[in-house]
Amino acid sequence: MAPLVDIVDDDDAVRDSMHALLDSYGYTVREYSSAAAFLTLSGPKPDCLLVDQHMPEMTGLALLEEMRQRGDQTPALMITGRSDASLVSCAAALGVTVLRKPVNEDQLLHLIEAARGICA
Amino acid sequence: MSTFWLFRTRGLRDHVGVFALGFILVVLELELRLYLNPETEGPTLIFFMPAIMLIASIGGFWSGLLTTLMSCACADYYLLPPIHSFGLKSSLELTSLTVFALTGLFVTTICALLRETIRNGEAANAELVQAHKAATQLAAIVEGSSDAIIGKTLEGVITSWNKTSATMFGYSSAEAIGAHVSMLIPPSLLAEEEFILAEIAQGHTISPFETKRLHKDGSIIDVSATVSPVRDAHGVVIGASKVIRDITACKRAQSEVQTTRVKLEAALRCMIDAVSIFDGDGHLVHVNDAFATFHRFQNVSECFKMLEEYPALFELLTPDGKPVPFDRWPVSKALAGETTIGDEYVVRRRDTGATWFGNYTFAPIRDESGKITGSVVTARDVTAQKENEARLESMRAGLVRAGRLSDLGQMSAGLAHELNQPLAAIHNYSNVAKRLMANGESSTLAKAYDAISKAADQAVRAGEIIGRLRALIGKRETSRAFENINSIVEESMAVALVGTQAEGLTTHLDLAFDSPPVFADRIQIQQVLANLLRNALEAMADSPKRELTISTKAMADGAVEIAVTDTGSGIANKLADNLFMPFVTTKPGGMGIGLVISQSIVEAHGGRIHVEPNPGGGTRFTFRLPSTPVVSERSAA
Repeated sequence: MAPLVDIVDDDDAVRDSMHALLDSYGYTVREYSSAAAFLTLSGPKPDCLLVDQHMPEMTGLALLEEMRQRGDQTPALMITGRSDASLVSCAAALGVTVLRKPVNEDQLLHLIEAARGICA
Repeated sequence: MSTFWLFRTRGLRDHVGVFALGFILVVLELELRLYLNPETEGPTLIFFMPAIMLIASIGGFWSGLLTTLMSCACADYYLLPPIHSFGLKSSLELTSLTVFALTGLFVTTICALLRETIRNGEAANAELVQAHKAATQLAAIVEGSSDAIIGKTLEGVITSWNKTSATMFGYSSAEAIGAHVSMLIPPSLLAEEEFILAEIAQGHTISPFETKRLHKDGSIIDVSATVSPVRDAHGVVIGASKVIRDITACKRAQSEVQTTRVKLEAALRCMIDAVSIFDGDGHLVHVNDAFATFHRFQNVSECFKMLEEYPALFELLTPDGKPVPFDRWPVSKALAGETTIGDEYVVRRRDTGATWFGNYTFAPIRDESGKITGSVVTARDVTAQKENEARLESMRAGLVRAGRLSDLGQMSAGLAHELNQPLAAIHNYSNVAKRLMANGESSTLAKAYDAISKAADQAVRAGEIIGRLRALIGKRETSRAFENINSIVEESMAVALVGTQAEGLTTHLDLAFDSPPVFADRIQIQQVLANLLRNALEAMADSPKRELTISTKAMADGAVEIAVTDTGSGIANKLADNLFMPFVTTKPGGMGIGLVISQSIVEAHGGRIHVEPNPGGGTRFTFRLPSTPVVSERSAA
């Protein structure tokens, strides 16, 4: 069974292009346009979660905090347009690595695999 | 006075009647003698005695003497032999006639003396009555006088004491009369009384002089006194009369007037406003130092004394530059009865060309009947204020521009984020296309084509964003120079506080005036400060205590630390960490970008904004600016 990756990003193009990229590597991808949409939908847990930081209403970090509070330890990667030391440390505290846009393809795949490894 | 008064003649005319009467009486008595005793024998001369007595009593000595002589002549001629002759028959007749003449002379003298005595007594009595009347009148005047009138001996013992003396000094006349006048004199002035008594003893009058006297209750009375010597009938000084007027009220009024005047003058001296008072004829009555300063005179003595001299040196213009004729000058208007507060004029000195703004307030001075007797004009030099207003106005305009820059900054940060999205998408799509093409399978070519198309679309999107950015940014000017941080703080304050709710807000400026100049972009730092100040004011909007403190401090490393402290709601710990991240905000409707821009500006200046809780509640933001140019890779957002 192909690994399942969930993408949470409010930007349609970013989300769609990421979907296409992961699809080309054989991943099964689910898209969510907001944190709330991700939290309310039920279904199997993804092998890895890719979450955008800058989103209206609820940021990526807030979503991850919420998930961790709920006891959801799904491996996740954060993608952001702006590297910020405090954001990186906050994410690290939740076991999340931060990637800067535009994302380096090899690094992304490596981290997804690593996350899957943890999961597995 | 001598005994000659007996012989004084009172004018012949007065005595003609008496002489005539004497003559008639002598003739009548001769006839009576001849009728009673036709003989020449018997008593002869005695018959004439009553006439002599009567005439001497009525007419005095000379009349009596004449009557005696007439009697002698008649007796000799008609009664003594030989009859009808003035000759005398014997020595007996001569003796008899001589005795008669001497007796007549004696009787005449006695009668004249009696007459004079009686007459003198009557005159003296009349004088006495007159004197008594005058004395009564005088006593009434003295008693009714509103001045205290005191009689005293040369030893200073009081001999008379009128009603006003009693009210003025509190002693009844029973208490005062017989007492020594020193009880009315303050101990320190006793020497004065000795001098007065000595002068009086010499017969000198002491003209009115001001001194102090003592009331029975110990209070001091201000008086004006006149002392005159009192003489007896022989002109010998036997005492003094003292007229004393209570001038306490007058003195008090004088002193009050003086005090008021001194206070007024002191007040006028202290005034920053120029004050001038002209009388109705245009004479300068009073000016203060500020008037001289206002008119660019060296000192008050240089100021013209006549109003009409001023137009020669000064010109008055309306704020829009129209000349004001002399009869429309504030002082002229005041003298014409106008009152105005806060008229503004431009004043120009014709000699130096110096020009300044004056804010004038003026009013006429009227007497009790309402007649204008002068004018009072105050003027304040508002040139600096005007300049400040203009400066603030231009600064406001500058800050509006800065505000636009701030909007631009926010927009830029937003656009940077936005631009990153399509670039990320392009990147992903391109990678997808690359991978699919590398596989070379025909089934994947359609997917690759799709990815490339989408990448191209995203490139277009990115281009559009950049186009919008270019249109917005235009020419972004940033220039750094050595600036006085305190003046930047003050300007930012002035602008940030405009239109804010000042009620209940306390502002503290704690500026280090020894701080070195900072090397900074003035507008950008104003933008940072304005942002921090706005945040502070918003954080305190609902706080019971609203205290805003801005301080500058010179640091040991040559940097200057600026702190903005508020007593507002403070920042939750959780939020504090993300405070400088874009889109993090506590403000409803806030963009969460102000602090991000501020941080990027400060970072571009080589510093960093720190936030910490204010120990007294609220928040404290600090940042440092260098006093030397720094090279930074980062530039302001």
